[in-house]
Amino acid sequence: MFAGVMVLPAAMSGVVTLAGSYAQVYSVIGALALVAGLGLVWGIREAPRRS
Amino acid sequence: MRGETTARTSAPAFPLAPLAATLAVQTLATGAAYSIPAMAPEIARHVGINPALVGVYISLVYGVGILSALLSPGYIYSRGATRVSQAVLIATVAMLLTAAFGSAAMIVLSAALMGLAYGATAPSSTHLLVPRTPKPHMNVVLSLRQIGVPLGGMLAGLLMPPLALAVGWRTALLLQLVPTLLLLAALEAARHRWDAPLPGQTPASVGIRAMVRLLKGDRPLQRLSFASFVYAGLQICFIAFMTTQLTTVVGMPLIQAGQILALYQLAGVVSRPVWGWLADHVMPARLLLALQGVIMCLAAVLTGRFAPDWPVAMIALVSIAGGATASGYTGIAYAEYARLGGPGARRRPGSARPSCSPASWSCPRP
Repeated sequence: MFAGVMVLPAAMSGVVTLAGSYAQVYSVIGALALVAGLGLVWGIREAPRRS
Repeated sequence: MRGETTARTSAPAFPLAPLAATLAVQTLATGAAYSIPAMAPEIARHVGINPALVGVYISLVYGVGILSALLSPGYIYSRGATRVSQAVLIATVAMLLTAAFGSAAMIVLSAALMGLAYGATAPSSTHLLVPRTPKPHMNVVLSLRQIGVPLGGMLAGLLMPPLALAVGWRTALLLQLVPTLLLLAALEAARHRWDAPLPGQTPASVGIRAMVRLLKGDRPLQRLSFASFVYAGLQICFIAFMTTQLTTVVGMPLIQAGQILALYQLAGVVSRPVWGWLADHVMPARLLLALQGVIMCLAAVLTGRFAPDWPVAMIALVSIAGGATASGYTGIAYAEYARLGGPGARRRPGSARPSCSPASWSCPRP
């Protein structure tokens, strides 16, 4: 999970350097955050609780 | 009666000195690491590189840092947590000196040097604090320790840009040597006392394979890990690119861009206990994490659209929203890991010490 701090900033550097714009890369990462968040809601029913 | 008195007098007191020391180590190390992103536009102008490459710098710090986090438990056990904290400070000194040389290659090298020990900050401080902290104070102590990351980032955002403009970015880096070396010396005075072995402390075996095994077949844990992957990555993207984007795209002065970065970090500090309270009293942590994902998404999309005609107040507001979620999510994510029986909850049989759990030893925490 903490690979995110290694992978995403490097990917962003590459995209911004090549495309010169922050809009696309922030939109993609934002969309990933949305998907990840919705995935957590989806998983609520099956999440076991520790006693 | 006598037994009661003895028990009362032998109970550990609030670990003020170890807490102050570990908080200072975390703050100075993070402040040094985040100084490069905070001054990135100024550094890039002098070195002659694209400031957008700052993401590679921060990736390198954390990439090497993950390795040091995985390797540190053995060293902490054999050398002591205070000695390892000193190693973190020595790596900080090496990073500051190397980066101050001023070439692109040396800045890359400085990131690797910082990472060599940066991942050991959280495990060593946990090892030092947990056995010395009375149970009723445990959450407060560990929460305060965690503030070192955003505090270091906030100080870097507030202090480094004006210093870079006043005395130059290299001098701004070198000035950080003073508190770092002072703390290094102060830790030496306490080391023999704090690094004396405590009964029952044994090293935990942690590796990438063990972490992957934890995830295998556990869908809720996989979903939480994916969310943590994205949220942590977005958090560092905000930090790494904030001043560069605000100065190069929006045309904001560097000092003001640094203040916006500090606001982002401040929102992370202030929001953490609020999210924690909400998770305890209002709604499940999982729902809160999902809500944070939605707000993060909006903040990221809006951040990508920052332009010169945006009011500063609006940029500040978006940055606060980003900080409150992308930086503020960590506490409840760890609590959720513990609830699911993930890394935070895996304890050695018979051990009540979370310092022996993989989560405590795990990777550098943003």
